[in-house]
Amino acid sequence: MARLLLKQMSLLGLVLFALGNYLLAQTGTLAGTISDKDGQPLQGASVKLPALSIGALTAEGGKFSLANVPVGDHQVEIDFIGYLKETRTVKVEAGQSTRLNVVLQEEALSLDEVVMVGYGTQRRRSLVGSVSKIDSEDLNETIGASFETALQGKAPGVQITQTSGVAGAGAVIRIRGIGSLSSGGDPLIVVDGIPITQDPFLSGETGGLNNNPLSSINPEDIQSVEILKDAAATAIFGSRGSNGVILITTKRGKQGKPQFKFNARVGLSEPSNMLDFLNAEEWLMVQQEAWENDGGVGRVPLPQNLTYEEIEGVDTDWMNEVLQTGVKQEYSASMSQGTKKFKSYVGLSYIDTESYQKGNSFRRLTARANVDYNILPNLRLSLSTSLARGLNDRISQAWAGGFGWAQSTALPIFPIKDQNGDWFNLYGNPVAQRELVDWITQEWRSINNAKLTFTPVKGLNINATGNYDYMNLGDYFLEDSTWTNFSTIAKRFASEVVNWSTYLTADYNWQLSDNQNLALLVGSEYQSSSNNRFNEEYADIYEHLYNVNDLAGADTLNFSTTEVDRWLFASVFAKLNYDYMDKLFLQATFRRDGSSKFGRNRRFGNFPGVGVGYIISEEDWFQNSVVNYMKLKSSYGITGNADIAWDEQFPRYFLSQEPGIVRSQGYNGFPVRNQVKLDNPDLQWEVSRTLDAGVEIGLFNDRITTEIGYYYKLTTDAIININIQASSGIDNIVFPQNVGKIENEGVELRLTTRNLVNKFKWTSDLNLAFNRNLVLEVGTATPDALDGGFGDTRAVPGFPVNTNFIVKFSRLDPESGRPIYLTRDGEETYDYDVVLNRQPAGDGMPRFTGGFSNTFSYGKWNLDMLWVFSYGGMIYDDAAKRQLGVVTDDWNMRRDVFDRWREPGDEARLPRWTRSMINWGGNANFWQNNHSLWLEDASYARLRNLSLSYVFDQFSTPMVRRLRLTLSGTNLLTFTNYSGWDPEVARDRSSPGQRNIGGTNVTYLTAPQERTYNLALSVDF
Amino acid sequence: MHINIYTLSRVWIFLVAASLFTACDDSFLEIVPEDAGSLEEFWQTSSDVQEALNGAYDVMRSGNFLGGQGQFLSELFADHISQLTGLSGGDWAAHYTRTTDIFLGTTRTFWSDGYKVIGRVNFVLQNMDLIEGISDAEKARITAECKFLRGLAHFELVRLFGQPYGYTADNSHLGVPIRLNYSSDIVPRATVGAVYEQVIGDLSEAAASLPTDNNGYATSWAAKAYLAKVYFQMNDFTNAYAQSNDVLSNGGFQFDTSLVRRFSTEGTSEAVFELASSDFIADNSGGWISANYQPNPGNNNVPNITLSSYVYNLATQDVADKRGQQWYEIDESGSEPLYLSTKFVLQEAMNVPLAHVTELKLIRAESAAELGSNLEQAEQDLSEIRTRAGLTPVSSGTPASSLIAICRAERELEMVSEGNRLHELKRRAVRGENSLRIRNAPWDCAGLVCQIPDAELKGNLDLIPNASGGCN
Repeated sequence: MARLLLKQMSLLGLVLFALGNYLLAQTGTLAGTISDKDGQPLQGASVKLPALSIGALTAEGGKFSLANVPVGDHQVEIDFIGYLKETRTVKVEAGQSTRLNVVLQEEALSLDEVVMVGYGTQRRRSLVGSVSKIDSEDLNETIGASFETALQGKAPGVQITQTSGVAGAGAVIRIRGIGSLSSGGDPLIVVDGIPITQDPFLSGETGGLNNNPLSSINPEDIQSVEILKDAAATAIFGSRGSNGVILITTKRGKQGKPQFKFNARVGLSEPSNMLDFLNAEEWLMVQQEAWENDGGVGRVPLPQNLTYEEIEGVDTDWMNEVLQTGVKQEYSASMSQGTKKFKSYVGLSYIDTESYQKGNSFRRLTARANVDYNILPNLRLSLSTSLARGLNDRISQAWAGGFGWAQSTALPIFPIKDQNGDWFNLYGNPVAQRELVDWITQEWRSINNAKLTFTPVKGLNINATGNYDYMNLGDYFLEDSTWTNFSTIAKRFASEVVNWSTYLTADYNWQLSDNQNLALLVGSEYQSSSNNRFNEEYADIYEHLYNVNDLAGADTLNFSTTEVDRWLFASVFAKLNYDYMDKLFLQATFRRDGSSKFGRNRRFGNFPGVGVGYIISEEDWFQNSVVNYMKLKSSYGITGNADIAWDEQFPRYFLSQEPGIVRSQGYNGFPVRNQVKLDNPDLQWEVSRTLDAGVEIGLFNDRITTEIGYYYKLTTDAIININIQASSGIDNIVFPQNVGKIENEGVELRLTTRNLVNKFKWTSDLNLAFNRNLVLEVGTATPDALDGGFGDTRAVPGFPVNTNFIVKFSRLDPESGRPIYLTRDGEETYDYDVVLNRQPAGDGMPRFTGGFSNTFSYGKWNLDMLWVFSYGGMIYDDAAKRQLGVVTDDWNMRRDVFDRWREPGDEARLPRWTRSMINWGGNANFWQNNHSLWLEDASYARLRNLSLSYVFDQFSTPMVRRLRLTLSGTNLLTFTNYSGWDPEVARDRSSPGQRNIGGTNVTYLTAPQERTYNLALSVDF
Repeated sequence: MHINIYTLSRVWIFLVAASLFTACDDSFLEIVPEDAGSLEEFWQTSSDVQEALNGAYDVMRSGNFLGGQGQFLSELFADHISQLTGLSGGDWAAHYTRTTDIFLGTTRTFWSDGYKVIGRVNFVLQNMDLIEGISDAEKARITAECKFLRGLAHFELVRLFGQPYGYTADNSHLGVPIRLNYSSDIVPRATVGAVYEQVIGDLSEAAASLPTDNNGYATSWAAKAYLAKVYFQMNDFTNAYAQSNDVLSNGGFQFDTSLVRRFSTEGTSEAVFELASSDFIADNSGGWISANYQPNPGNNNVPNITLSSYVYNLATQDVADKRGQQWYEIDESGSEPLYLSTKFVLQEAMNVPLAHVTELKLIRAESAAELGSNLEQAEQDLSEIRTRAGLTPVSSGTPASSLIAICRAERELEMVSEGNRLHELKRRAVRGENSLRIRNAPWDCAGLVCQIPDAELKGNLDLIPNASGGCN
């Protein structure tokens, strides 16, 4: 239909053009280029002078030229499907050529926009599922950040939590809450049809940081990101669809002359927030007061048996020693061209980004080439290849050192070096660690695919695709002999993940009648992935092992290769789409998955989904002046989660020695062997049943568009790590079983308003997501069996997944300054009893999250502002129990600690200082001091991004088409009551279960997000 | 041609679909980890059985169990360790202050590794018959070793996780679960009486069937030495005397004239049963014990564990006492004097004797004195020990009550830092010193018993936890 319209318009244009030419004499020429926001030319756009009834369609390169335009001022209308209509006034002079270059803005809710869905594309109009699309220009906000961080606040129900501001840090992505406990809760990530390697735990939490498997993707190469949220959209991904699916589509060549694009950006990085820590004098004061409170007399003994003479004059500001202003830079270039036969896109990028931590940076070089070649009119070959190398200069975090130590074990009374010039307190000294341990994480990544599309008869497409995704992630250490207390040691701990897949699909479009259309897709897919782990350590090597070819002379301390992961999926799937008069849409999908991960008694799972969409505003009786568009849709389906360890179904055995392998020395000079875990052949995927209903509305001719959605997702067979009594003597007492039940229910809202549409334009976009999460059943697991790692979050039936299962703090005793806790019955007690008094005290699940963006433009100026917010979740500050809690002589504290009780009548936040938790009613182990005094409201609103840009598009040289300068900042403002580092936080953890239960909204010395200031230059040639 | 390819592709898709939708043979989905396999692969020859048994010894000497933690936990509750910076917080501080809870890593790993010893021998006992070609003699030896380890591990566990034997008259107070099968079955805690009964049963069977020499592994003498320790702990002096006397008279173990060899690479002739070592770091049983007494570079070179002024003064009050001279150092360079133990020198491959001649002599002597018979033997044993330490021998004709006092004094000095102190004090309390206090706490306060760890409670909702507190 759209194409027909185009043809008619072009015919009209030609006729009018000829007519105008004939009638008028005093004329000039009007010519120019029509392009989109990215500077991509738009071919086929209509340029009209309505008063004169003349016009033209843009040709290749977005160019148009109108000759013989009468002299004078004219109104010009530029229109193109999917874009907002623009009107300009131009002055045409006799015999002159007047230039008119116009950038068209995309429509907020374009019904004919093509949206990527599983194994194909669909017009937005015909979607029955819930799909959010984010375009390329919105994907690269922060220099060096990977694309997913830019999704935050842009799609309702998609919660992105950047874990920290450390270079190379990843994000926790949750779509519509959490439906898993012990197995992974991340969405499936598919790049150009390839389910890529996306495990953030490849190196565990080495150095207090999980690897970011998405950091090697250059955001500049991405055309669009589609987020599939409901079962209608994800059921075709079967056993891997229940946590949502993120489809990434990279840029491809477009028809036309070569278009070049160059970007350069520079920026500065600093922490989004600073906390004050005690200096030496204050630290001693706190120690002394606590000591005297406990009945101590004289001066408080110093830690590590130091004397007061030794620390005289020492006052080290460790924060200052580890922080800096980071400098970031990014350069990227791309080329796109296309003929009817051959199209290509080539992209190159280089980034070098420092974080605000000394010694911490991420460098990345990427290259991508995507080509499409029409071998025959009905046979097309598409090749995509990318290669990336990331070098992350690492600084240990949290418990492992660096920024974590600087705010904990590195005391202000400790010097960096002692009088002899030796490092003081070597293994708690973040400066020594940074100087003596050079740690680089290197990632090589290559994602490739080849696709053949064959159209033997009209309407039938056959696709054969082969995909290869290679990842080599290595931690390389170079440790000084002072650190090792031995020789200089070079280490490599690397994972090599090889992931290949192939799929074959056939789709056939069948026009049943003038009003009815039926499309059928069938396909099969096979995927296999393996991960081998390499551990090497050599003494007397003075370079990183990736630079070393010759290991002669090295003393081998360790060398081993282990297979740590290997699995496969084999699947068949089908999809049927029916539409009636382009207003009623029905869809049914089905997938059957088999996987080596599923227990031997549970080989295959079936996953159906159905959906319906109805554009009610197409009905004649509906027509009215307010509501110009209304679509109702609903879907239901069953999806799964197959994030299960590859060997979970098998019994495992440990053999200290096998031919050629020595894993341990055994005992008494002889090898050992034992069973590690029990057989688990009934383990299977988790099952989610999702009901979705939504309405899309356009008001006042799309000045206001909105989409409201409701979903209910019930997950059964959730994998729960049931515990076996440790006294069984079985090594692995964690025994996963499909016994859990979790529900997520929510409402999502998107509201886009075009507030001002004339020369000064203002568009607002608000999205909001309310999610209610509830754990219903956990089998025989006790709350302590389902913990988030340490003493803070737990999964408790009747409460959300990440519930803070801790002792409730009630108030301070005004007479003694002692903390008063609450029993489970709500009675006040002095007794801090972890067994009897722990109870659900809050949870880290926000009641709602969202984003609010505003775009203002005036001529060539453009101002973008994005606010993100989260309301109602609690944050558990696991380090506060040390930084504000019991006064200990091996940690520094925050200056907030002064808000303590001293004498009867004091109104204070913190109890009377003591050096023993026993005085606060607990036991001496202050690590167990987990109570709700450290639980705070994590609600926040944050100015995520503010950018101001100016576009130059009039150049004397035809070489440059467009140049844009942008000044931007991220995380410039944050409004929150949270007293810790940053309310937007996720603690890096060692397993998916810990990430679900104790990941987001839990912090332990976690570094805050970055605040950045950036200047960007973008040039189109 | 179009039709052909169309048809072909339809056929292809149909075939793939059909094969998957109706797949009977799903073997193509099978990926078995290379090093996992099945029981059949893991369990083939008699050397596999020997290796599995060796695995039980290996976990027994883990730093979490008897390669350190077992000794430390006992000492931390008692009065020989100083509260200093290394103990300022964390799990050990909870033990030191007798305020442990269910979440401590120390007790969790001690418990788990202790039960892994039991689980691994139960696995061997359960599956040994699957393998053909093991001689009956070999089976008997392996069975006896398994029972020795099982008895030993239950004994070490019940001493820390239950009130002592004799705390109730019928020993009906709760001990630890008795595990006789390798399985995920839910098992409740047994009474202390039942646990001791099982321990004695296992050790007695082992004593009857083990060889007298076994390449560094358990022998019949080891089982008898442990029986002596168990009976002595129960204040069953008749049996304690009989077992210790049997080992000392017939085992051929030599009293070592040197004080520094007991924990050393070369080892001591006194060792009746010891955790073996063959290699520095990788196969070293004593590494973690000695490491905690060495200067810690992460703590301004203060060792993690320093000794109390009480025990230092006790050991050095007689300047002639070689133990005071050879096992202690004082460091007065800091703000507080540090009393360092030099009993455990950091060296390659240190063996850890769990039963040695000195302890057996102390058992024999005290049992004799308690029984009022064989007093000359008691005098001789004590004299040997005192003479080695550079002190005067016991005068002949010393009354039994005085001999008991000497035994206890010598035991305190000889067994320092070996993990005996807490159990000895509790044994004496049960023996009649009702008002005995351990570092100012009543000997029977709840906090002087370790808490059953979360790792156990998580698997059995009905398991009864230990009470806590009451010591301060």
